[in-house]
Amino acid sequence: MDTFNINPEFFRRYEKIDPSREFIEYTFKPLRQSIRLNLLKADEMPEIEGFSFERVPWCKEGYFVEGEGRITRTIEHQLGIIFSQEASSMIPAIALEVEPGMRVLDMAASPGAKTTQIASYMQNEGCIIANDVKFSRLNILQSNLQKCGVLNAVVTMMDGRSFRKHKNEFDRVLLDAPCSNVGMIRKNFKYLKLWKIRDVESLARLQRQLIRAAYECLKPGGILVYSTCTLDPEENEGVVNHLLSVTDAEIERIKFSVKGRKGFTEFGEMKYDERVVNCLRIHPQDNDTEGFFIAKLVKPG
Amino acid sequence: MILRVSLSPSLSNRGERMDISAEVKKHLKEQFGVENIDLQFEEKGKGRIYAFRACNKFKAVSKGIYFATLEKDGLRLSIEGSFIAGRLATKNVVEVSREQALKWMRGENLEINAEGNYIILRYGNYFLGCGKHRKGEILNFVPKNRRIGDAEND
Repeated sequence: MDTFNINPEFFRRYEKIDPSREFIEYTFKPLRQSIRLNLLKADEMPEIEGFSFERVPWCKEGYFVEGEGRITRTIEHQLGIIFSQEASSMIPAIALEVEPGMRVLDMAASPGAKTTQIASYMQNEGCIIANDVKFSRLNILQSNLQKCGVLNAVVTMMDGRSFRKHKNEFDRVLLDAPCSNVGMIRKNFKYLKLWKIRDVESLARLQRQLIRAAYECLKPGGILVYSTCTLDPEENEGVVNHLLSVTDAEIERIKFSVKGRKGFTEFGEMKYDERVVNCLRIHPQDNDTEGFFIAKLVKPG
Repeated sequence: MILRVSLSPSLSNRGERMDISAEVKKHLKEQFGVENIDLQFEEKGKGRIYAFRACNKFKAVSKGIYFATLEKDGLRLSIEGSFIAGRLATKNVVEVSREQALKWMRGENLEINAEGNYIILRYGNYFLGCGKHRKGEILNFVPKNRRIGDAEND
């Protein structure tokens, strides 16, 4: 079946975002499996029979997995020593620069991969508000917090936008926003079938409201990381541009040993604040991972 | 420090009523020799004990993790409870072989002679949870979704 026919509207849009042959090739290539060592339960990566591991260059406890069997059927996985997590999605929690004792908000936390990663950097000290708006997504979040042995998280179910009332409350805020999931097409073709430009537009509206709330509840001097697993500028640079235009937020460049691209300063007829160049875009062919977008924002003070 | 007094019948039947944190800590000391555990505990019905570090002013759906079940004859630790308490335990911890660990994680009982009622099983640096010792056998409590070889986990 010609993949173009699955969703022609998607291909027309992404032709403008990344016209390279490699982009299409990697978008449809099965995803490499990766795991993260859970530092709350282990200090070093164990040897696991039947598997070999290659370190993820940008995450000291992240590993790409090679092997015939399923890593999810090992003792280490079932005990929560290792945790399945896509390699590019390990970046936001690192960029957040958390420390033990901090007060952290994970505004759209489910299924909890980044929450558990944050908890491991905090060594279970301090407080994480792990929030999700959907009741149906809380079970998997709670289950993953349990498996990883996270003691310092409180699960809440609130509309992320309501956090705007809690001004200057958190040292760190992670907004891994609901998005059109183009980066996840490598995991599941349904995201290609489901993609619609009108969803991009409505998601972007929601994302602009969420990032405002995330910034409102951040303490002066605090760090807000905005991330998505999609590559549409309207859901990424457009959202960051909005925050920069209505607040005093500053944007910092993410300096990691990860291949990536600078943020787009224009797209179609849109012109964005020049500072969005400091955003990090990861296209699937850059590191053979999911596509991802990350922006690190700081509140002056 | 927030301590909730348990009013559940399962606890009040034990005679003198204690706050739940004190009761859990007493069991940890008596059963496993664990002292000075820096956690708060809360009971959420049917003797299920949750451990957490308090931090919140928001209305929580849940906080912390399932740590143990307080049974009539002692404290039975969850896998996570065994990781936390096992590192501090001075008694009733049994080291198992790889074959035994695999068997245990498939949900099978182990033939092991031990002394205590509840035993923490350890395989190298891993804590495999807590089993009930009865007549030379350790009874398995590994939940189905934590067992190996379970297709639902994939």
